[in-house]
Amino acid sequence: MLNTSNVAHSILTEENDNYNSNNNNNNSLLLNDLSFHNDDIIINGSLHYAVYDTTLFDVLKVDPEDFASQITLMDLPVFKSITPDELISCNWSSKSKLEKAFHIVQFTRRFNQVNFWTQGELLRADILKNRIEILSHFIRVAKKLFDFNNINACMAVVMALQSAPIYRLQKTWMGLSKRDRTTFSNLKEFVSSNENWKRLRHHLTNTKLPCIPYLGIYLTDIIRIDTLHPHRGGLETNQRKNALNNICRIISEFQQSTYEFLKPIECVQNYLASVRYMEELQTFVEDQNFKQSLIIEPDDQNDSCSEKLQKNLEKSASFKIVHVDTSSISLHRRTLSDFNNSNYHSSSNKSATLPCRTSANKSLLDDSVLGDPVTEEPSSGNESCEEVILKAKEYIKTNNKHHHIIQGISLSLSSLSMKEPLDPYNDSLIPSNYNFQGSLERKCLLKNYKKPNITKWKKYWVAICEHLIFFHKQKSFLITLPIRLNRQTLIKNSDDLSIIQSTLSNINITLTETDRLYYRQNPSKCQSITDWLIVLSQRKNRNEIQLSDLTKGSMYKFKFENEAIANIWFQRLKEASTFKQKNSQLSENLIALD
Amino acid sequence: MDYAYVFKYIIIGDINVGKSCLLLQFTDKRFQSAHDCTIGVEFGSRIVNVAEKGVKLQIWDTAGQEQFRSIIRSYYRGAAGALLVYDITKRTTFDHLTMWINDLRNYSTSNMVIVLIGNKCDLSDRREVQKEEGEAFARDHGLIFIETSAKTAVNVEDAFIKTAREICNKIDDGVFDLTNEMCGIKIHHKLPNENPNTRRNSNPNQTSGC
Repeated sequence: MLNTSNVAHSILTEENDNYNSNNNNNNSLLLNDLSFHNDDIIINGSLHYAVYDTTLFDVLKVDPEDFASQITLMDLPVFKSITPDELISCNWSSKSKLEKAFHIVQFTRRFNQVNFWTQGELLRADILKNRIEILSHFIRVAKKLFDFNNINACMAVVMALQSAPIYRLQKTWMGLSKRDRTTFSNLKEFVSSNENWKRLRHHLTNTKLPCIPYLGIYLTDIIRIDTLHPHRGGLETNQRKNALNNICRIISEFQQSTYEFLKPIECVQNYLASVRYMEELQTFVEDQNFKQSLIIEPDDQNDSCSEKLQKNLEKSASFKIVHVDTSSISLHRRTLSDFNNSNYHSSSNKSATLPCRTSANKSLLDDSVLGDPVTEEPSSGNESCEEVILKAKEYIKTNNKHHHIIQGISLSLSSLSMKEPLDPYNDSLIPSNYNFQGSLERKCLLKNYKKPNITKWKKYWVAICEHLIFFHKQKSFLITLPIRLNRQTLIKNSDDLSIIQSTLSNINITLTETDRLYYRQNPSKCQSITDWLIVLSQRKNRNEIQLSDLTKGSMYKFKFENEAIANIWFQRLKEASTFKQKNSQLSENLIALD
Repeated sequence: MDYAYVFKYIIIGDINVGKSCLLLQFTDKRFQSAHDCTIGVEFGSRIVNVAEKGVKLQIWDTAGQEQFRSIIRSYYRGAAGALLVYDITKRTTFDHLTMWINDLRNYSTSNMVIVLIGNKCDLSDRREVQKEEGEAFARDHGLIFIETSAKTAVNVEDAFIKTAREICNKIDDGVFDLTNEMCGIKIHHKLPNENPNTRRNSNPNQTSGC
């Protein structure tokens, strides 16, 4: 998803590291921040552009002129590398485009990258005021691009602002100042395709260098010439040759352009380059962008339903949170151990031991407690987790015998079709429906496009089940004390439901952080990681995996003790992120529960 | 030649279905013969006579710009008519129609008139899509259907003019909000030196706009 792609660091290459090692000045600091090994230093933006991180890059902090100049400097070499052969081949849209028209493809990629970056930046601003500011900012970027005579990028920005998801944001457009509106309407006129791009053609034939033209016009012209004078083997007709040569000559003249007067700004270029653009995902991103647009400014008539849907989802989310609350309190009644009694104690006291749970949504540090599916697109098919839990909850409601909510979760889990459980620690204590689980350290780098104020490594027991990951927090008791171990085994009762039976055993052990019992039995958070970006980083003796949810702007890092474990997790997380859900099967299973 | 309206059209469809060919055949009578092919501002437009009115058709050809996807989608919005083209000798181009239709429905104005064109009907010996299939698809999606040959000019005029006639009908029914430029229809303002009485009654003959 390109709109949000800048959330994620693109897969950062060694170049950053090389660069860092060569620079020990302030710049290296900002690049460190950009790099994968970012330690989340939060600095105030006192240095000009010094605070730089792709994850929370604020476009408003960069002057439009600097964006325009850097985009131009990035476009120029790509444009210059286009060869006449590529143009004449007419193969830039064909299957063999990468072999026969590589540089044209690269150049159109630049166009699309700028285009989707613009759309994405606007759509991720969910507050109207911000959005207006960003729109105005981009209009100025487009104007500057025009001033630099980078018509290609100017058009990319203007067309992005004219694209379906942005065009329909009426409230945003209404908020523009008169000056911005005039500027934009002039730009719009300029790039209009009316009368065969009259104004644009006029400009391009009369302009002085430097200029990076909009290539699309020439590409269409070449196709027209090719249609008019097809090349049927043998010698080319003179008309065809002349007409094509004419276009190649025009392009090669533009390729003489230099932009020596523009100074490179490394961090802005790095940021712009980090905006991910994948051609294969384009349709998907376009659809996502449109949905996002409907969310931030719902239509008055047609899309009131989508708004409603959104509200319903919110309701169900708060519902879920309540349900987690209950679970933490009710759990202890069922389990019979010292540890759980102590847990009961604290929870019944409503003391600070479980403050986060009772204070609902945002309390779980950076977690949103099962709340993440809230913003899930209704049609995306990702709501299955939520559905399952809701249905389980309903089931529990109607069956007073089993009103333990957390069991609802385990019930719903058991209803999912499971893969072979694989447990690296071979821990028989876990009633596992999970595909894979283990302990790790997690840090949140980004949440809803915002960097959390406090961010540090926290230990979790993490389990993967299909496309879902479950987080179990550490228990609140002191781990160094010998405790009575609560051994639990999983049996099946007459209703064919998995329940947890506890047996007591008096073993004195000291738990370490790789032990399952070091963590709470019940997950505090469940997230679908479908389509997340999973990146493994094993440099500088670190074994980390970065998980990025490009749609919602969340980013986490997992840390592992050694390479082997990190590798296994990487594979498993990858599998989970691409896991195909079988919704129909799922609902059948739920019915079977009743 | 005078005209009362300007209609904006777009031509879309898979690569190599003959989009440019159709346009050239329609707007440029010299298509078959060689000429210097200067691509000027009038390229892609032509005035036709529809329902006793002169109408200037301004056609946006997206050929060659398929990679600039965002541009193509924003074209949809300002067009009154769309020519959705497939190649009767290539099954895949027909199979992709649903995708194109969805795209159009999502991003165009709801009143857009769409004509489905099965192109290259001169190559009927290599036919992979039957005429009945095209008709059925058009019926299911509420489109006008026509088979053409851009090469031999069969039905090309018809495709463009049928679309224009349908748009005219819709204008008469008051479906379009002509004050909104985004509907793809512009009322042509008379030049000051023009006599308003002769404007409507002029007898437009169908000549090339070039």
